[in-house]
Amino acid sequence: MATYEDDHNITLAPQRQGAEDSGREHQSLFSVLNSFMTRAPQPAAADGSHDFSAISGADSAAVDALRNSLRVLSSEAGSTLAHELMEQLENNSSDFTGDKGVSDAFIDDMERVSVKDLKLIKTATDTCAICTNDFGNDQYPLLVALPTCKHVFDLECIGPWLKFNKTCPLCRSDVTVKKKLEIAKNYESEEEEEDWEMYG
Amino acid sequence: MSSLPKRIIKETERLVSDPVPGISAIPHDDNLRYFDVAIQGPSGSPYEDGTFKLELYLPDDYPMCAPKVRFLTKIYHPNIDKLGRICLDVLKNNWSPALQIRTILLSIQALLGAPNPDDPLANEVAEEWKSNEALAIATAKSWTEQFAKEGD
Ligand SMILES: [Zn+2]
Ligand SMILES: [Zn+2]
Repeated sequence: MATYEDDHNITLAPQRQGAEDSGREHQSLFSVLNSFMTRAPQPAAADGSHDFSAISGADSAAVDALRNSLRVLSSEAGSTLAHELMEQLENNSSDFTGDKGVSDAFIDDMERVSVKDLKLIKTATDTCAICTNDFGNDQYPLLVALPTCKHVFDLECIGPWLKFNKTCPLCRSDVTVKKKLEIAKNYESEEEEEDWEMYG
Repeated sequence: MSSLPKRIIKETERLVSDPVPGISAIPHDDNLRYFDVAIQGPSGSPYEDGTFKLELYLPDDYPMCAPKVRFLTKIYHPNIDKLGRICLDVLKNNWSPALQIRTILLSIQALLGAPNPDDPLANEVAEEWKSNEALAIATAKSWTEQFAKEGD
């Protein structure tokens, strides 16, 4: 699969195809990308570590702006490059944000848990490990269980974490092993954990 | 300044009302995300009887990202560099929002008791620690004596 960098290079140094329209299109596309690049904070701290405090909020806004610009260029200016980039952005936005998290769809698909059902989940804690509030104290709780380990968190707490990370805050297991698990369950619900791989 | 998340208020209250033995963390009056920290050197370590001052800052995204912590007191340790920066996995890639200020400070205290020259931040110190551990420990003790005992 083409990486973002591949597309990036193609975009910044497009093969000349002669048409004036095409040149304009690339110019406006370039300016869109350029403004995105300058708006998106560069996560480079002095010690080389990633400063996520600078990223999350601002970056998703910048990605949204880029997405909108690409959409306009793609539909109104008929830019195929913009269209391709837009698809790339939808399919693999992690390459744009530099994050290592899960997709929005993944977050939307997580199992909702009601406060009264918490007792039925043996891995559930009484408090959210992220905000440290009691689940029971929340007037309008919106709780989710992670697909693999079934640890329970407020959706509004675990959501932002999973946008940049694939691990459970409590047990550090990879939350994206879900698919394997579900497939395995369909075939062999009573199997031991060790056997899941063979169905994945 | 944006309002302080409830979690930070709760953590701060507990740090004050139920402090970790050998560790104090006091927020600044004018910036409740900035803490003056003091850690007692663990007994049996070259840092024993020393009081090490650190600064701890909770970034806006805390607890989605780790607190920023730095030693202010000079310390001779293979995982702490000249600028006081600390090489500790839970402050970097292994941060989890289920960790708290107190767990981080406990980890730092534990790091003082168990220097790890195989994962160094201060290379020269780590080299000395590996090639001549007795000398390194003596140096760490003398630095503790020199820099970590000025009471106030
Ligand atoms: Zn929460
Ligand atoms: Zn978990």
